[in-house]
Amino acid sequence: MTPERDYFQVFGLARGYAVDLAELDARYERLSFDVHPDFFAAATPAEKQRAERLAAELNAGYRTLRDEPERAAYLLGLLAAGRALDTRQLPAGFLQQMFALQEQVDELEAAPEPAAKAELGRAVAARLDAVRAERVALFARALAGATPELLQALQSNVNCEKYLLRLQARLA
Amino acid sequence: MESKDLIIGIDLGTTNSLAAAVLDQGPVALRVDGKSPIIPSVLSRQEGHWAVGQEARELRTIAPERTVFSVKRLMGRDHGELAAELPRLPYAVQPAQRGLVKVHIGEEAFTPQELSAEILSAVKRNAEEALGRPVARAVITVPAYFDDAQRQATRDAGRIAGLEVVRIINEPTAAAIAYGLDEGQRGTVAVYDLGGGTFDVSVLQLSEKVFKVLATGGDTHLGGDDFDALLAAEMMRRVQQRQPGLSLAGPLASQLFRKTAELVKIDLSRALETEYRLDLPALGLACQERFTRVEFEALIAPLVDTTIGTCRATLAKAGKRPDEIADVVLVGGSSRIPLVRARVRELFGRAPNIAIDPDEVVAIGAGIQGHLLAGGRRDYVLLDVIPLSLGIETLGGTFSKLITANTTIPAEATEVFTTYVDDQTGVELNIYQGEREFVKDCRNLGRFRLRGIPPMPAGLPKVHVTFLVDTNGILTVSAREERSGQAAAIDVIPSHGLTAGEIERIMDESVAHAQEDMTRRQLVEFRNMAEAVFRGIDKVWDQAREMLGEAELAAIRAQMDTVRRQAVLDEPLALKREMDRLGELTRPLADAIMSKAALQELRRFFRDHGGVEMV
Repeated sequence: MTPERDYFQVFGLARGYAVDLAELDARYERLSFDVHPDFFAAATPAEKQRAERLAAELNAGYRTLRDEPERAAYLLGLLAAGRALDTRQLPAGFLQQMFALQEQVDELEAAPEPAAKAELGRAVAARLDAVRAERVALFARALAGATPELLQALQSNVNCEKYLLRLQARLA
Repeated sequence: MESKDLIIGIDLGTTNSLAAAVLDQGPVALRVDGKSPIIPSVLSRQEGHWAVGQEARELRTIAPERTVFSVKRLMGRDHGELAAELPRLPYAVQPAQRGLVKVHIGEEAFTPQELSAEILSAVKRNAEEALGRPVARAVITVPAYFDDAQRQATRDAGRIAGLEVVRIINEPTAAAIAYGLDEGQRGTVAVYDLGGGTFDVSVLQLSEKVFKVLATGGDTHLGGDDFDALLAAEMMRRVQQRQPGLSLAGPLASQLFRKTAELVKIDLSRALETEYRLDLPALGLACQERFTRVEFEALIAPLVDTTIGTCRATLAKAGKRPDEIADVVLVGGSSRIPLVRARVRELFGRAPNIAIDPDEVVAIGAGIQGHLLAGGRRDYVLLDVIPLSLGIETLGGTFSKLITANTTIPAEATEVFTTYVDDQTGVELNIYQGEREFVKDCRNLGRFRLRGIPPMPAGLPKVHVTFLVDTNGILTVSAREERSGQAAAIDVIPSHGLTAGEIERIMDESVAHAQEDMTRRQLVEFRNMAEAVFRGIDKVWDQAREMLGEAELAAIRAQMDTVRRQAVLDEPLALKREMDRLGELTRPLADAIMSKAALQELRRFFRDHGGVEMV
């Protein structure tokens, strides 16, 4: 993924995994007043078109930075700067654990058991927390110096989250 | 505000349409002389002319096959999609080119866009008469759940009606603007909009300066029309049961039942039971019947439950629980039905808000948005969403989403395409909108042909195709090829709906129509001029009595009456002639009180409006 413009720059935020959401909201609001096509109704067709595209970019940037998984994937793309990463790699043993969890979810879907389901939900949430905590540490190191190993570790981390989120959706 | 800057808001509804605008006194529905601002969305073809509005509505049961209603349900839809709908309509609908349908009346055929344009023209004329000045620009509302084709059809209808459609906005969003600005509503609100033909629900976050739609859901073929149809069918079944010999086939009977059903439905919103008569001497039908609210509610409950299900799903998409909703706003005529109100109250655990007239609130919101677009204010920003995911067909007929539902618009996605054979210069894309996995279950928005790819070996060209859903919720596709060294622009040719050429042709064909528009505009101008002249004469009348003789005064009075009589006829030139005569008669008066301020006012008026000579 090679983004055309750095969303962190668009919003005037420091590049990093931690984002002050209140600040992001305030800047999104301010920038919307600058670029939203509704304020260009009297402009030339070219200017109108430009406003549509700028606003589309602003909306995409806001959506990406507002959402943790999307922000992680995006920041990783920026850091990788075109270097190819294995988008399927997962930590050793992770898939086996996921299969075991998936089986439990399958069983619960066949024969619902609220207590067991809640417990499983907590287990998945705990795994997610651990994955995210690991990610904060990995990003801190990668921002200081992005080695191929660190980038790949982050990619695996993002992949793990995707699996866990899918499981969580099934448990919701 | 100058009329050239004015942007009116138009609610183009399935059953009713109206306009609103922000005037000095604030946002108001535009009405002529205290009459209702509402124009029924019905048109009837009579001797080569259209009767639109109330007049056409009366013709529904007299000339059913020449009278068209619920055009909105045909907009942007092809014949196949309308299959379930068409048998219910008394007028003929046939497939036409490129996914269009046409309504056939006698020898003539009209696209839904042209028919909607006639309704818009009537709304425009009414607005011009109310404002006393021409209107050129408008914000038109559509159901939030309208897809790209339905939005484009609406925009094209506006153009055919001679309007610059500055913005298409969503009906529930327009209602939220009205509540947010007129009523100062804040927090998370739900708008439940059940109209004549469509249902929408939107969940919005209203803050001081940002009105943001979080999620929207709906059904563009569910509304009061469907309740009427159910009720009419049940009424017909009862009559048939009692008089098995009676033949109730044909449009006359079906329209009588529909019309009666509509009245019964409205009655049952106020009363627990109602009586009605059905008389159709031609078919030997004459009976008196009764219907209770309980019976009616049993009929429509499944449809109302469907809307509640959609509300739940939309709340989930917005990430909100019902108890997190600060207010529920009811919009649309069908939201008056007690069962609807009860179900909404049950879901949200609170009484719905109906502070603003549910029939006018959408137009009012659109008028406020028109004011913002015209630069009259810039204190809030409206962030709406795309209601349905948009994407392309990929291998095996699967639907690959590029922009997902409920993404804030404008929204953009870029996809790279290549060629499959050497020197291939074109690529075809099938674009769909919907939420299902396979394109066969989604709406086809048409085929886009990319032309002008530089000849290269297969797989080498990299065509970047950008899909932009703009602030109107309408898709534009642009493409560039980057491998050929310079970024070559590629022609994108959509193949659905009306082409620009077709819109122009329709507009050309309606030159006579334009003439009528012009006549109408002149009439509005001359009528206003006449009123101002009368006011001027009244002001100087006391002085006139001192200066002029009885005969001259009587002549002026008589001519004023002539102008008044002429003003109610649709003949602008004749009106102008009588106005000129009045100018002649008042000339001695003008001469006599040359120095008076009142006269100056008169003169200034005549100068500004030209035409009528006064020295």
